[in-house]
Amino acid sequence: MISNEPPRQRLIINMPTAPGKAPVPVLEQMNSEIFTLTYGSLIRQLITDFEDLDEVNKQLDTMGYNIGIRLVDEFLAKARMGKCSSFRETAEVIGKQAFQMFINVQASVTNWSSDGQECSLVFTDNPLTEFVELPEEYRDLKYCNILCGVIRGALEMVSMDVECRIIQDMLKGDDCYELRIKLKEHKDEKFPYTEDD
Amino acid sequence: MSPQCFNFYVYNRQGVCIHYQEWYRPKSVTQGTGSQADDQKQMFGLFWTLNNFCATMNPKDASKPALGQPRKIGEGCRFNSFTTNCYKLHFYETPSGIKFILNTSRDVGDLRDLLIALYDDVFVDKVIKNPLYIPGQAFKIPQFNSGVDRFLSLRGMLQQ
Repeated sequence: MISNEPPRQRLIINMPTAPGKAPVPVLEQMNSEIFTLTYGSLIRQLITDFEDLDEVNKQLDTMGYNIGIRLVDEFLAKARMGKCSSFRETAEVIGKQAFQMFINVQASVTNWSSDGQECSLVFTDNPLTEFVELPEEYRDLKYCNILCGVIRGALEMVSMDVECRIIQDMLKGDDCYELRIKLKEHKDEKFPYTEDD
Repeated sequence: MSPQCFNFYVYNRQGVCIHYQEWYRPKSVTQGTGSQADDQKQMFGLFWTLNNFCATMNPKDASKPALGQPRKIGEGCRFNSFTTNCYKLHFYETPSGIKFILNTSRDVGDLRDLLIALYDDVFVDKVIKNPLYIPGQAFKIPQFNSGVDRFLSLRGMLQQ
């Protein structure tokens, strides 16, 4: 029985960064193949347990959310980040620093909507899906949905409500992975106690 | 006199004190506000108001938020510490809303880097990565207490 505690995996990032770019903190390393195989067997087990692919997608999103709400503190601490001044900067930080730090992927931020509230993270390398082939009967499975949950959870902890979905998936024949992030609300800090307390 | 730490508070975004640790508090809480909970609420109110006040009084910022207007976390300038004739209070707020407050004796310098390192080395390591910790809720993790003690005494901040 899969417990709801998400597996915590970290990949090492030891790639030299280009001069002038923000330095990427280095975490402990682990073998990316173990990561890929563990994720693959997690998906396999979820499918066996739930059988309905929609349920599996939802579970992946929830697990990603649980990871994200904790991961954000680790990222903020390691990257010594201050507050991002805008959603644009936040998206850049996610694509260039966070993805690099945790899964060794350089994602580019593109396709900004006209009001600056929506953008796409595009990448071609994905350690989650190495060696993976998706059979026809699992076409509705969002294999990388855990990433969407992680982004949603992490941004919620910095008071940004976002919606994240997979637009393009290389496992389904597209030529890259594209995650579309939409900012629904950037919340203010409210004083939590009422006058009566 | 060598530096001395008095007490340490950690707050979440909702203003709940999720951790309190003290080393030296000769004036007991009952003589002050009356209860631990009141003391923690007052502390929260203090730095909430101070942050708002600092942002409003900022002479460098062209667009100043009005006092009392809701802001985003970290918007406007932040206050780092204040010194009284008895103690010095240091404050650090992470972008995820976790706030650290450390009261020390007056003869310490700027402890902002120390608090950031505390967040990185001790808080993330012992609290966030603890599978029993539910983000945002009060926790009792002995490893965190001893981690903080070790961290501070390594930096000469605790009289043993």
